[in-house]
Amino acid sequence: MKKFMTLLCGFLLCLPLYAQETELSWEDLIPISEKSIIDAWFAKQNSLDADQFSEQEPPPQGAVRTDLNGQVIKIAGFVIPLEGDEEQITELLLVPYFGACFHVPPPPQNQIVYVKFADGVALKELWDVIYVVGTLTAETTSHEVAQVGYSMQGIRTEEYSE
Amino acid sequence: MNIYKLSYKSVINRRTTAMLTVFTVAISVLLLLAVERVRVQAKASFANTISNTDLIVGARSGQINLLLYSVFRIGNPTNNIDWKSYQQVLKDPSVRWSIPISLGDSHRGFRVIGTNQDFFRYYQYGRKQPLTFNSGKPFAGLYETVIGAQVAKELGYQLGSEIIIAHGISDKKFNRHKNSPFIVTGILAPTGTPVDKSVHLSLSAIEAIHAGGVHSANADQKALQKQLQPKQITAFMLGLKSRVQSFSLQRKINTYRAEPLSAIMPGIALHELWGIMSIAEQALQGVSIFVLVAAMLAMLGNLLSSLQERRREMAILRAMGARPRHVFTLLISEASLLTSLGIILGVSLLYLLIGAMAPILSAQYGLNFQLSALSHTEWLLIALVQISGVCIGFIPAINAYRNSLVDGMTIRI
Repeated sequence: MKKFMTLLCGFLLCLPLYAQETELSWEDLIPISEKSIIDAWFAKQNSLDADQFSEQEPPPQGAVRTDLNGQVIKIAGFVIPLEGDEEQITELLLVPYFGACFHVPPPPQNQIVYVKFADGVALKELWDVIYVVGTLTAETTSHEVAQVGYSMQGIRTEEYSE
Repeated sequence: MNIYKLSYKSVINRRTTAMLTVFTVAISVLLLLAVERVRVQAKASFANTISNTDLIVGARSGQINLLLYSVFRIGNPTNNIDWKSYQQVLKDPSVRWSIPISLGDSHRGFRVIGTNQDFFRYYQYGRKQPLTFNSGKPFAGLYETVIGAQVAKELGYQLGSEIIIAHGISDKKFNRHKNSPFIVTGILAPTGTPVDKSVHLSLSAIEAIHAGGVHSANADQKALQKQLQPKQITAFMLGLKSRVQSFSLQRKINTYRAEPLSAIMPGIALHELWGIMSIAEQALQGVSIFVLVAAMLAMLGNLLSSLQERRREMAILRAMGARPRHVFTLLISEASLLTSLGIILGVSLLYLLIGAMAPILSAQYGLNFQLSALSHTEWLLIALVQISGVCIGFIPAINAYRNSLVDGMTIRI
């Protein structure tokens, strides 16, 4: 009981720290410049007649918002476990939609967050939707390939509620 | 005389039935704990087998099947894949490393894995631990092999030992490839994974044993190389430059037109596997709970029937000044004592059983069991048994409490 009280007090003390986190939607992860290009492309697609083929592939997507670098954010998504055992997961991918498997194209690079938890987190169900809170890193370039993507140092997870 | 001592002496006096009760409890405790252990340790050994691998690619099949045969060496591959497809995937800019795997051969009951030196460089298990050599180094030449720790231990091989590889998984004298002796150049450190039970060769060596041996003396070098160029492999593992790229490469591989391939993410496949296993687990747990209930009912039966024999005893105790609560305590402590003894016996049996079965389970099924201390959950289960034992004791206790005086003093003929 005493232990629990200490934990509770500790938790309450930490609350002001958590107040700094910003909740983001997946759309917020797309840079505004890219968003307008995509919107324009979709508008053009819709204006085509039904018997016309679209002339081009959708514009390349996947740029990241560097201004989010280092921010503590909260985002909800589906969990894909990468490392860990059944009880504890230390590395995971967070994606906006279920079924990044066979029949749907994979989410673009800026719609996947690679999350690492130093101590691991418990996960109840595969394909669970949860909130992940952590410090976001937006990598624009990597020395190996021109690689972009978000990664996150996880702080905690929260249950998702509609 | 102390009431607990009295209860102890009384039990000793009825040792045959008491021992039977203890055995029943012991067996239920054994079952309960064994199921828990199998559950936890089987999962742990699965989870620790592969780490830091982004994709596993094989012929088109279900993801669990692919995971089982490529990583755990359980079951058989559905099909091989073309060497050209492998080369094609390697051209993708997101690939950082790859490990080709060729399965289907064996050496005296141990699976033979055709691979290349990247296996020793990139394969990781547990929490991102790489493979290490106990002695020796990776194979370099055609007729060189690296063996897992358990292979070396069970077959008594050392560096420089010559071994003969058979074609096919059942290794009988008639299909051993007599002309291809391999020299052991390395022995891996134990990992607790199927790697311990594998014999690793180069891919060319696999081609060579299927070609029925190569007589390098009379074949010119160029023709030899062409002959030994691998034509197909069973599966390959991929490590990517960024884990975020797993999806797009997985998609590319799954929609590859030249050959039907399946790419899986090991983490997802493992979770799916656990989902299936949990059904069997729950069934086993259910059965062991019912065995516990049966054991408790047996104990209750024993206690109640012993009360019939002990009417006099109780009456004398009362006549000598024992209060009803003394009689009550006597029976409760008897039930607790029997349960405790049962638990102690059950736990000892569990450790004996693990000690005896661990080598067999490890060799046959690749499940690793350690003689580790009781876990948190196991202590909880034990507490559950003890508490239910005490609760069961209440029934005869209340019975005796009510009847103790009336019973023995009235003479009935």
